[in-house]
Amino acid sequence: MAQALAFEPVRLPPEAEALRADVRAFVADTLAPDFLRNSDFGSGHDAEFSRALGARGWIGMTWPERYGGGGRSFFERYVVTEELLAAGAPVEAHWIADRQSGPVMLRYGTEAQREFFLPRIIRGECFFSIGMSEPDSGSDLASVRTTASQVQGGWLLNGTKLWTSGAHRNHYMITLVRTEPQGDNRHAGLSQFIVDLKNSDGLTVRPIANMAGDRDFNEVVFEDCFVPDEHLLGTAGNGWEQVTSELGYERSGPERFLSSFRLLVELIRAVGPDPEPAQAAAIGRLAGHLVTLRNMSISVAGMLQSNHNPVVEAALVKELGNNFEKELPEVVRLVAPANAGRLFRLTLEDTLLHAPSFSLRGGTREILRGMIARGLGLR
Amino acid sequence: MSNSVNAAAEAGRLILDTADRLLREQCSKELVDAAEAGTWPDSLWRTLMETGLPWAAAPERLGGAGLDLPDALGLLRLVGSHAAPVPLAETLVATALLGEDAAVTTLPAGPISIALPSADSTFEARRTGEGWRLDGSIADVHFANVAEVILVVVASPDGLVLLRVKPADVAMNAGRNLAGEPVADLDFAGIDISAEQATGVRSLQTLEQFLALMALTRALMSAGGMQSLLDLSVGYALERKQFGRPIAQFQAVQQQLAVLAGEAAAAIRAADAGLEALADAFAEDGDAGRLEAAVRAAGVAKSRAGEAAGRGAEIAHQVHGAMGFTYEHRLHHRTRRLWAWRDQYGSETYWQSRFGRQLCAAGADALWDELTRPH
Repeated sequence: MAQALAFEPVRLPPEAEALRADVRAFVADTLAPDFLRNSDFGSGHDAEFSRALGARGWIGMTWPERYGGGGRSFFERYVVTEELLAAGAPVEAHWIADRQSGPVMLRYGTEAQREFFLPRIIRGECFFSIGMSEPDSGSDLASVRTTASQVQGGWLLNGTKLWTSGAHRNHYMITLVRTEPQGDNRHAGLSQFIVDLKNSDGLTVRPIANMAGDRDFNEVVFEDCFVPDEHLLGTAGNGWEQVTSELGYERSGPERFLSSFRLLVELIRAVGPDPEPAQAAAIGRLAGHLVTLRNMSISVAGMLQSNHNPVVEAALVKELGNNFEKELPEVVRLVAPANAGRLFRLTLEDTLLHAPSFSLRGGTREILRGMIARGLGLR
Repeated sequence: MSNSVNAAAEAGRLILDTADRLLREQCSKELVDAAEAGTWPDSLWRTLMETGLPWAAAPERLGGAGLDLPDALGLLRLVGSHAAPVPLAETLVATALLGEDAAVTTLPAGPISIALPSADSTFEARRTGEGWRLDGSIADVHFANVAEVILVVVASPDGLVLLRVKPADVAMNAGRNLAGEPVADLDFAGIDISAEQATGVRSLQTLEQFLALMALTRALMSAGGMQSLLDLSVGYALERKQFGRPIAQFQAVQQQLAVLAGEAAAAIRAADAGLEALADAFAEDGDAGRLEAAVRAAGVAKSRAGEAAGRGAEIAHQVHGAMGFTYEHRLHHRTRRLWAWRDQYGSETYWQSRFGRQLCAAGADALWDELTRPH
């Protein structure tokens, strides 16, 4: 039997469920009533909101207490993240640091790096970007050409990173570079560095507007940009293993199927309590898909909690989840009432304009299907 | 987790393994072909009865294994993965529910069919003193003409009642569905059923709850069928060569099989979640909120599995090429059943609409709570 389908049943423990009401109350108290909600984790960079979350202990929840972390379970983190996304809260500022930069430092970083960065991330004061893609390296990540060459006390970086969300606002970026020329093993000779985006010479951040009109993407150019030895992350040459593990954190969370959720909320508001048959069927269908995806995602949280590395299961959640969040606006627009109103229209337009990115970021649909196929033993 | 829960889980796994081995051996291509052509698979049914599987959820006092019904229903995935041409779902459910009534002292020895009238059927059941008179018809009753007894499900002011009807006593227009499963339209034409043939149901209260339970059986069978589609398709892609290499090496084929895997995984998880909600409802005997949560979860399971079946069967056939379109290949035993089951006990639209109406009634700002509230 194919082994890829082991989504064991998991029930969120009471201490995780108990957090739900707290997060809802916090969001209701913190966000202004006229805040335009958007459940896409990549929308809404609000440093003040992130600091307030940090003060509540909702960043770095699973990290050890000695760094200021919560020492809590993946289930508790799961509830907090899904509640924030469903409420449409602005989580972008701290999202990457909480989801992957911190965990990668916990796994591979030096004690000094952990002691410096983790408490700052946890307080909601230190935000991270992802430095993986380049102009000629998208899905083929191992082909990155940015280099780091060793000099007295550190390294000099040269090259260009692309699609770097938030680089103009965030403080640091974990970036993947080549520290040895490419040989027969293209996964060898790669390394990760923690780059200071605010205080580095030879580093230029240039904005790239996206089709939705957001100013979120950037191009980051290194020209003999000096990074000190103590900002090498993990082991020089071990970058591929580290970046693969980092990507693992990216793929199974609720952000992979909730990006369009607010549109379903606004559809129900526009439809009212007495739907037409086609509206009821469409709403029930989308809700049924969402319930099932959530179930699968919680099951993956259970695997993370038991220290498993559910690569294929996470890819399945992302594949199904991205399809769902892309299909949602297509289904919703066809059953929306003619007088759905301005809030509905704005939410639909915003969702449609961002939807192309859902199945690109964090690994394209094609790459993920390839990973699933590998899990099935096809390659 | 307590030891008793572990022991129950272990016992459940043991039963599943035994049943899996048995059905794998018994449900040969020849046996399923013969059943679809009209031969009742007597030896298969006898073997199942010897192992006690159809009575797994009947009480021990009646000769059953005494499992809780939700635990026993896990067996139905195997009906799907092996295309077992027998009313295991119906007999499991029937013997469990009949056994809830202490007045029942024996169970029908043979296979059981369940006739559940739909809201738009002409069926009518009236009290006649202590007994019942049945009129009108019920369409598409599965396995009615091969069953020893047909249980007709009737709603009464005191709750649901199961009426035992002998197949010989009703006019029957019998045929087969696209999966070669026996189905019959039953015409009752005023037959009388005595009080001795009536049994009250304890754990379900409404026809809709009964419909949901039967829908869940189809979701579980479909989940097993989806796993089997995936296994067959992956196996075939690794073995079939074109252009000098296994077709599994082509990205176009890999991508399709990855989609199939996703649909199978979703169907299996949704069906299992339906079972978990049913177990919660049975654990809290008769709690209306838990029963409603179980109905909802069964509806999600049925509609998600039904959607998966359509997409999955399409991919499995495409991967198998013309070979899978032949009668000789066993793929169609699975795909035809998946197509049949998705239209039994409420299509995707039926269950999606029910859920959608509830969500609209609850309102936009309650949506998230409706979807996440632990039941």
